[in-house]
Amino acid sequence: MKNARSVLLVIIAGFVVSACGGGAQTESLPLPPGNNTNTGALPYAGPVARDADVLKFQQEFWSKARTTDRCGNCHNESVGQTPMFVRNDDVNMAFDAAVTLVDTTQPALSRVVSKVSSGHNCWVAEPNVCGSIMTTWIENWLGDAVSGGRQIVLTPPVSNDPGASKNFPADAVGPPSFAPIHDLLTQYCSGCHSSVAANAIQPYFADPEVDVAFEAAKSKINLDDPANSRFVVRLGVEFHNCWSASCTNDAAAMQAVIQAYADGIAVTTVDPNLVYSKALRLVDGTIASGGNRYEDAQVALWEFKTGSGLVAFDTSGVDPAIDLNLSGNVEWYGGWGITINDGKAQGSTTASKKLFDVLQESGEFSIEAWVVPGNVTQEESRIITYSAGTDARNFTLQQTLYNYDFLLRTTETSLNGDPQLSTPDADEVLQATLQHVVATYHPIDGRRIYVNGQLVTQTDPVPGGTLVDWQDTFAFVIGNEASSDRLWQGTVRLAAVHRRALTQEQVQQNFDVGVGEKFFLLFDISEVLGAAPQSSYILFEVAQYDTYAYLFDKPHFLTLDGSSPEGIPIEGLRIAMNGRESKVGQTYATLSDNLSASLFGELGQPLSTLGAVLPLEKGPDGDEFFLTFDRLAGSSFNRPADPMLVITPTILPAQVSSDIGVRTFDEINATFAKVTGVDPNDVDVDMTYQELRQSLPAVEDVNTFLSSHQVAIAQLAIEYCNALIESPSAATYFPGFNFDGNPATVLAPGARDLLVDPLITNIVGNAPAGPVLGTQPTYATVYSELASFQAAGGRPNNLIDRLIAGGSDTRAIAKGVCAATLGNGVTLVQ
Amino acid sequence: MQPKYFNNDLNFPQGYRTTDDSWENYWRQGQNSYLGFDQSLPGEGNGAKSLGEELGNSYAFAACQVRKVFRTVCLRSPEVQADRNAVDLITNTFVSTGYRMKQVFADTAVHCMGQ
Repeated sequence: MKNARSVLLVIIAGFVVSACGGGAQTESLPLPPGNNTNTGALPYAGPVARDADVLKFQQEFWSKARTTDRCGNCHNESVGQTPMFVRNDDVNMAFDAAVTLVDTTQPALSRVVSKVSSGHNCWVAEPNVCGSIMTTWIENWLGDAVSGGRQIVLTPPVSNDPGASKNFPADAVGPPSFAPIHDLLTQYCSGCHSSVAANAIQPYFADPEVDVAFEAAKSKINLDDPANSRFVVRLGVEFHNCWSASCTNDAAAMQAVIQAYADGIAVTTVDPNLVYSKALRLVDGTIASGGNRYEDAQVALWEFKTGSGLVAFDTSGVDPAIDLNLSGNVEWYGGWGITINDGKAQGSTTASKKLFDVLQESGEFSIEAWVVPGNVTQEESRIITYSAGTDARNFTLQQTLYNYDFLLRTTETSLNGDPQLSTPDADEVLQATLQHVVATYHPIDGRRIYVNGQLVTQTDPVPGGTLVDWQDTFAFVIGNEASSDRLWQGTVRLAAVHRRALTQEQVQQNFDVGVGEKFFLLFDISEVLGAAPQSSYILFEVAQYDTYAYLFDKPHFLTLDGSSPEGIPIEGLRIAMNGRESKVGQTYATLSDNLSASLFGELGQPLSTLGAVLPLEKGPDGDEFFLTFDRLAGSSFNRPADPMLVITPTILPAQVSSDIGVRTFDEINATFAKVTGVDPNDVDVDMTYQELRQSLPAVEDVNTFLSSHQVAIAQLAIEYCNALIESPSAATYFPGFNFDGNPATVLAPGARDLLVDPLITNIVGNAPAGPVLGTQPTYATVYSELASFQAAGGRPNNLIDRLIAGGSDTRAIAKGVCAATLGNGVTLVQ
Repeated sequence: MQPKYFNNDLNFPQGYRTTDDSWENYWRQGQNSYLGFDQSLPGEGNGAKSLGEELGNSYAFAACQVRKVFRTVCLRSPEVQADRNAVDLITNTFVSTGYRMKQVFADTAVHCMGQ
């Protein structure tokens, strides 16, 4: 009996367990503490976390940082390095130490983050990546305290008057004065930084093409301070591939050529008449975002922040990191991202196994990406894939023309993830522009695709399955198939994998946050307004838009000292860069408004909803921005209006075009009908015309007249003459002429005038006697050709005599003479 | 607004969003003012009708109509100075006499007569 009860309990327990795993809504549970696979961390045996805060710290930060390859190598009780924020004996004491090292409002500004970002024992090759990972840990630890409705703290920037600065000449691409720098670069750097190098590494500032090299070198040259040029710093301070024994000498040589180049460029000074704000660089701004993404279930994240090198780091902070190796033609995209031209970014199968482990356990997941498809013509192009080749995959997000496709291997689909789920064809949701795309899978809801925050797919026709058939030997790849034969061209600005199916709200939240680094730039206008120093500002949301441009967006007016000015007129706001107003992107030039504190919202008074794209000149570290105004408060700038365009027409000394033109198709038909008296709707005539219509002249220009036009005109003329001579009206058109008579008789000299005179009079318009139309050939000329010219000097006889000699009957001869009169320049030229 | 105005409106969300059928002519100032808009009109308005009036009452529109007539009647473009003077004269007549195309054809035909 006891055994039977045990069996029953086991069965019930098994039923309960299977019910849980059978697809009911699962709760988002944190990964157990200390779950990372890094070596060197002993199991924790100290006191339990005293409260929820400490527990969250233990799970999200302490367990990851305590490993001996990271902070746990020193900052614990056994080594004794203070602060001991990863001590192993008591997590509560570790928490107390850690809270002194983090900035709870802006995790990225935490002491621990800046420490590793500056290279202090970073555990990967790129110190900034450690900073990003550390930031993610802190954000996850602080959780909602930081991500839910975080207030943006705007602090007055240290701003200066717009300075005079040197600018690269606008029209110069590879100017001659750049040659000495180019020579030095090609001599010593072309082993790598050239498109023709065996191991080509971007940027190609040592390219043999001087234009290419110049464009790439611009951002590495500081015209205002040559010693601070990236070229010089890289050699002199960072000792990067110096070519001689002395890096100092090499840096000096580089500085000398840059100095010589800079000396040749005139300084751009700010026009003193302008009404302008204080100046700022992009990096002087307040970081606008980064912490508000929904990342609680994130297991992999690529932000592509490094901007150089051949590795895109996974900065999710979840071990092991799936760092992607860039191969082939893959470029870094300014403002975070990679552009895949002909290559891919691939993680190792060992690291990719993280996805297999985590997602198979959760049974659901999401793939998220900010992408810029290069075109809408590529098909089956893998954007993000976890697969082995073209016929075996765990999951794939791909592009086919205007569609995103989601392929997933479950127990209900094939090993290749078929049938795929696609966005609707007719909607054309995929566009070759920046888009946020999320593909989610949940056993109950099936597959879904969200684009720009909107669910765009219909209900998944395939029932939900499990992921038990997944393989752990596949590789995670961006931009191609693992077998490199399904290239996707485009830019990926962020990619992430979550171990939960994101909800509509979470997708929308991540879409709203945007991508890339955004700054709030506060342009100080206190002085112009006559207000207290550092009180009144124009706020812009600014980001590096792509490799070549900045995006200025959503201007606001606000005060930081609590003052509330009212009714200050503002007109003609323009954005200036490096000492001069930008020639393009002046969206706000027509702005006309009043600054009023009563209109203040969260970020102040909105001035416009529009954005402006401005060209990048020296790069985010070098370009200095300020604003100019046509009118602001009591100051105004009398902007000279653009001069009116004066178009000077080309006046020719003499007329060169022909005075005459040709009649076009319908005009020819109408003319023939008029001069012959034949109805153009006559069946035979109309049929012939409709057949020939497209062969007749279509434009009046005489230069377009072709021999084929003449052939068509002759055919139409014969048809008209046939209709004329065979019709009863022939008797009135040719009074007294007998069409049935013997040609030798009725067409004898003199008698033939009965045929020829009506034709010439009606068609040419010149009768034997009477007024003469000067623009037409004379009666005598035409008559001679048709009826009276006698052969001389090799030229054949007149037409009628030749036709009589040919043996034709009278009707045929009459039709021939009529067609010859009708189908020529007499009726064609106008 | 017609929904088609917002097709793919997220391609560049920072761009202008059409809210109604109002228009404003920025070409009255600057280099494009050579088109010669009628100063008696306000230079802004609502709808296609007022926009059509703005365009139709410009000197450039009248000159364009006259040049088209010139090409139709004379079978060539105005080339020599005499042609241009004739076009200017006919354009002015066209504008000042209430935009009558018949008169333009007649004047142009007289200019090209005998050529």
